[in-house]
Amino acid sequence: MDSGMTTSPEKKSFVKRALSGHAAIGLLAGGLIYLIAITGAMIVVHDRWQRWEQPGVTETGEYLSPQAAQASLSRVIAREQEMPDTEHLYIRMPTEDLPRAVVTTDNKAWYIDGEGEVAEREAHTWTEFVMALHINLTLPIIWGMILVGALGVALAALLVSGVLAHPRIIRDAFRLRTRHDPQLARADWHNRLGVWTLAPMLAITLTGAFIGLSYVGAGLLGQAYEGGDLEPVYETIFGAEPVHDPAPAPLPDIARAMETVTERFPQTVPTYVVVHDPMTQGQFVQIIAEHPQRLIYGETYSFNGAGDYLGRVGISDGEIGRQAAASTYRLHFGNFGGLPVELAYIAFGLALAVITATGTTLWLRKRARKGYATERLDAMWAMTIWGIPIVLVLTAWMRFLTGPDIPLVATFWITLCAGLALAAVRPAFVRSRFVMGALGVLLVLTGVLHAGYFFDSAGGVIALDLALVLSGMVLTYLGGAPNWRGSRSGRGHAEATERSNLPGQHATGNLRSTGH
Amino acid sequence: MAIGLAIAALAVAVVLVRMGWGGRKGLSGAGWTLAAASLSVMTWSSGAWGLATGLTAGAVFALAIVLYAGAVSPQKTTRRAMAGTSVRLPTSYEGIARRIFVFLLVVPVSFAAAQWLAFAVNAAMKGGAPLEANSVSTIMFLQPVVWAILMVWQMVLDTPRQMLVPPGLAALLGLLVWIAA
Repeated sequence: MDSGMTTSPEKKSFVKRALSGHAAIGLLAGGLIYLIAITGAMIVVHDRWQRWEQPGVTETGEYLSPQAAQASLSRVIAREQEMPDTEHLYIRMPTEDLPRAVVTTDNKAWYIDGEGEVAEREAHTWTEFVMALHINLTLPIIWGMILVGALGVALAALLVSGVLAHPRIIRDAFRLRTRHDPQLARADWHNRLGVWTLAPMLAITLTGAFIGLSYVGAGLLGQAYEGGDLEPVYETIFGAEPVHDPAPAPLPDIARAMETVTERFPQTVPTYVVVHDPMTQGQFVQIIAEHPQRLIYGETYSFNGAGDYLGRVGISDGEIGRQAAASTYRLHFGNFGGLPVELAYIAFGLALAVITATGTTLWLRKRARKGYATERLDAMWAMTIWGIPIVLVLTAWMRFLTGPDIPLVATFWITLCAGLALAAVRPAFVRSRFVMGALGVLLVLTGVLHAGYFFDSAGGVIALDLALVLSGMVLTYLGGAPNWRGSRSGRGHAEATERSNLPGQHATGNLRSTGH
Repeated sequence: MAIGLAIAALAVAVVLVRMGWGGRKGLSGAGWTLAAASLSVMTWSSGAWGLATGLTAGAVFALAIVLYAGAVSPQKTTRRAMAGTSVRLPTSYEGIARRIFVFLLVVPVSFAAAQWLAFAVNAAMKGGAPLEANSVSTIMFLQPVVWAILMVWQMVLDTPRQMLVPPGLAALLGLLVWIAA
C-alpha cells in the first residue's frame, strides 16, 4: 500500500514496487495475521486441547451406542428442567481426538458417559477462547469473521506479492543459511518457508477468506432476492428446515435414526445428531456423517420424530457448488487426514508465524541500519511475537486456577495491551530473547505441572504436555543463546554483526540487495 | 494402497527436484514430472481429498529438505549488505493522507468492486431462477479471490491514480456481466 507513496521520486522497478506493496500489507496486517497464525496452529488440534483442558472427564471411547444417545436426550432435558426450553439439541459423537460424547442445548453443554448418563458440564472455555481468537478475534461473531476473512485476503495477496517481489525466490528455494548474518538468516527463513508452504497456505487462507467473507455475499443475496432474509441463501448449501409445529410431542427416536444410517450408509461415520425443536410435533432429526476420503464435512441425513428416513441434503453428491462450499471447512482446519495432516497443518501455521515475525523484523532491522530510531517498535514487535503466546499460556493458568468462568477474553486483551504499553514506554524492559526465554520457561512449567497434577490422564493428554515441555525447552535454549544457530565460537561475531546494525554503528557503503 | 504409493512417489519426486536444483535439469524435470503424476493419481483415485492430501504431503517433504539444509548450513558470519527499507513511515500530513487514500483504494474500494463482480456473476449464473447452490457458492468463492488479485495488482502500481484502474476494471466487468445477465 506504499507504492508511489514514499518520498522516493524515481520510478520504481516492478520488483521494487512489488516489494513495497508486500511490505506495506505486511506492516499493516502483520500483527493480526501473526495472532491468527499462532491460534490457527493451536486449534488444528482443538479437540485434543479440549481433552487437555478437562482431562478428568469420563470417556466413552470412539463409539456411542444409539441406545445411549437416546437415553442422553431425556437425561439432559431432565437436568435442564429449570432452564428455558431448548430449540436445538446436538449430540456430538466421540472421535479419536475427543473420545467423549457431548450433548449441547441452547442453555449448556454436557459430557455423557457410555450409558447416556450426564457425566459433567462441558467447560472448555480456554479452548473455546483460543478458537474465538482465531475465528473472529473475539469480536462480535459476524463482524469478527468478516475481519478475519479480509485478513485472509490480505495474506493471500502477501503470499503472491512475496513471490513477485523476490525474483530469486525460486533459484534459492533450497538455500537456508541459518548460520549466516542474522538479517540474512531471517530473510532466508522468511523466503524459504514462504515459497514451500505457498500452495497449502493459499488453500488455507482462501478457504478462511471464503468462510469469513461469505457473510457479506450471503447478506447481499439476501437483501437482493429474499427481502433481507439470509436463511434461504444458506439453505441452498446446507439444506432447509421443515415448517415449525410447536404442538407438544414425545422425544424423537434418534436411536432408530442412527441405526438407519448405520444400515443404509455403512461407509459413513456419524459425527453429530441434531434435533430441531425437540419435543414438538415439528421436531426433526439430522445426522451428520463423515464420508471417508472426502473433503466435505459430512452428509446430512434427515429423519422425522419417529425416526423415519426423509432423505439427505446432497452435500456428498449434489451440485458441485454445494460440495465445494462444504469442503472449505476441513480443508481450512486440516482435519481431513488424521493426525499426520493435523501435524502438517500445525507446521504450516507455525511456519506462517515465523514468516510474519521475520518479515516485520527484517523491516525493523533495515530501519535501524538507516539510522531511524526503532527501539520502541522493536520492543513492541517482540512483545507481539512472544507476548501473545505468553498471554495465551497465562490465560490457561488462570483457567486452571480459578475455574472455567473467568473472563478470558478481557484478561487476554488487557494483559496484551499492558505488555505493549510497557514495551512502548520502557522498551529496554522488553528484549526479544528474554521474552522468548520467558515463554520457554512458562511452557515447560505448564507441561510439567499439568502432567504432574493430571498424571493419570489419557496418553493423548500427556503427549500434549510433552509437546509443551519440548517446545518450551527449545525456546528456553534459543532465548538464552546469543545466536539462533551459531556455534559458541560464532555467536560473539554474530551478535557483534547484529549490533553493528544499530543506528550510528552500522557500516556505510554500497548496499546490495539480497532479495529483501 | 494407491494413495500410499503416490505419497511415497511424491517423497522421491521432491528429492529428485532437490538433487536437480540449479544444475542437473534432467533430474529436476523428472522430479517435477513424478510429482505431477503422483498428484494426478491421487486426484484421480480420491478427488479433491487426494489432491489436498498430496499437496500437504509434498509441502511437508519440501520443508523437511529445506530444514535439513538449514541444519547443515555452514557457519558464515560475514555481513552481507542489504537493501534499505522498501516502505518508510510517513512524516508529513500529506504522506499520511496519501496512505489513507491508498488504503481506501485497496481495502474498501477493491472489496466493493470484487463483491460487485461476484454478485453480477451470480446473477448471470442463476438468471431468473431462484437462488441455488452453484451460483451462491460462486459469489462466495469469487469475491475473496478477485479481491486478492486486485490487491496484488494495485500493489505493483506506482501511483494512486493507477491504483484506481484495477477496481475500476473489475466494476466495469461486473457491470457488463450484469447487463448481459
